[in-house]
Amino acid sequence: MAITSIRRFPATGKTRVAGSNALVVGAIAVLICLAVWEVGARGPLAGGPFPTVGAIAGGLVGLVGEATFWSSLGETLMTALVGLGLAVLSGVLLGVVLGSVDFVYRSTRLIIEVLKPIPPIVVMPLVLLLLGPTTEMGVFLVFYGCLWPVLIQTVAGVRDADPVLLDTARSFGFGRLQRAVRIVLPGAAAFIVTGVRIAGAAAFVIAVVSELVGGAPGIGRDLFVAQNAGLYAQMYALVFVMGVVGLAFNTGLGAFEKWMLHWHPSVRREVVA
Amino acid sequence: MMTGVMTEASIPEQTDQRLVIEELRKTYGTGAAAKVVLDGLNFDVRSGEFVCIVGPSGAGKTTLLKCLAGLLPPTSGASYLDGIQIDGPPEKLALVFQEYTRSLMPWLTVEKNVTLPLSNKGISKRERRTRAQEALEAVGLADVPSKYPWQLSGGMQQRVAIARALAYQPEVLMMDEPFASVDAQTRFELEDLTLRVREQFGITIVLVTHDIDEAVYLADRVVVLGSAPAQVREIIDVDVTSPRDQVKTKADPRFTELRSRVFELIRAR
Repeated sequence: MAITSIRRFPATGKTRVAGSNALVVGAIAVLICLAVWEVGARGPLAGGPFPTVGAIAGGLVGLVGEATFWSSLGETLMTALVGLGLAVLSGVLLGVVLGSVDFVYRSTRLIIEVLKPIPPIVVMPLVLLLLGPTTEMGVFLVFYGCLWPVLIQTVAGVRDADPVLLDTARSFGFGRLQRAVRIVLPGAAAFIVTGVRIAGAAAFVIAVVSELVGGAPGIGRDLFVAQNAGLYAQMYALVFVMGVVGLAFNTGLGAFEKWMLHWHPSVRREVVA
Repeated sequence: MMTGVMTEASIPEQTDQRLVIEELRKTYGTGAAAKVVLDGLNFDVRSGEFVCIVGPSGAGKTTLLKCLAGLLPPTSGASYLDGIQIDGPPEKLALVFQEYTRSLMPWLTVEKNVTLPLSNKGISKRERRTRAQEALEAVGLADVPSKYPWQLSGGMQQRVAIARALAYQPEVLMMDEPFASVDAQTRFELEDLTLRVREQFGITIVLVTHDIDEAVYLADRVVVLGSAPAQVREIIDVDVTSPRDQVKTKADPRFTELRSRVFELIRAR
């Protein structure tokens, strides 16, 4: 159910490729993919919705020069980040309460288990009715999709709190709230950050889907528009942008995790005096 | 206000009693499944005294210490710290646990770990730092305040836990098998450190251990518990010369004698 932070063991020499080597290998693979695409687009698939690599690159250059593209991208990132932020805030707060009070935990468990597997896109028709094709709609969907992993991980982390640590804090006269803030929350950080990373990976995807399917403003809607208008080069350029932004988003979250958990066994380099 | 009419008999004979344990009972569970762990314990700890509680493993030593520290309510009977019944963690008391890796916060530096309990006491930031520094100096760790606990060896981590308790400036220090998880050499060092610290800070110490040598070496008095349900078998005055010394004290015939006495008491059914 809950996922603890993944332990990173040092890779064994055989399977590990040195940093610069990995980059070269990766670049070669990319080039091969591009070559296959180019051959397909010029040959058997010519004339279909498969523009050449050059045309897509041209589309990308065109996009980057447009102000509307940047405002769309900003819109999508805002939707993802605001939704994620709200989900983390309420997921952690709710998770601490649910995890610390046994009665609340047991009485809400069934509700959470039922709601958790419902994908955000299923909720979309209702939210569209209520909020229309707006940024708010997108933010809500991101929030809904991101809430569960954060909430469930927080509950698991809170329930995993070390009894010795809690006894220590109690013996020094820490009250319930103080223990929650100063002991339980940092102790659950590894769980919570893992939840945030799972949620973060979904946040950008849900934001794009809310635009693509729900019509909220952003690069997802631009993609839909480009597709309908038959502007294939632009469409693929947008897909490329989404890939890059998604990657940057996840890299950023990874760095955040490392920074938050620098003390945790999964991240720290073990130094034994 | 009643002191004027108090009779001789109602005044406690020992006025320097710091900790009084009266008919302390602890039962886990209820009905047929109930298990008696502490079976009516009686003893006291005087001000400035070093008392070791020794007993076979599973005798309920940790349960006893948790009751005394106010972390666990007794089923019946009571304990008193300076005449006040203990019904929650008393402010004058600090605890050191056996599991140093679990009682220190891995996300805080050594110094922050030591000052953490002080944040509760309305002490200025500067005063907190000073206290942390003094406490770390007392345990010989003045040079590692900005390290993290997990960067230190086990013995050093337990020193940090002791420093944290000292910085809290308690009147009573309770230690639950504090040296059970470190190697023998480190254990001797930490035992002597504890004796020094007691001298330096003038605190009362109650230490729980299953190690008979340790109990006799450290204590002014040893409270010997029998196997579960725990009762006080005997309270032994350790009349070996102070200051104690790992070599001389342990070679002292009186030490050997007391050690055997405790051993026999524990072994007796």
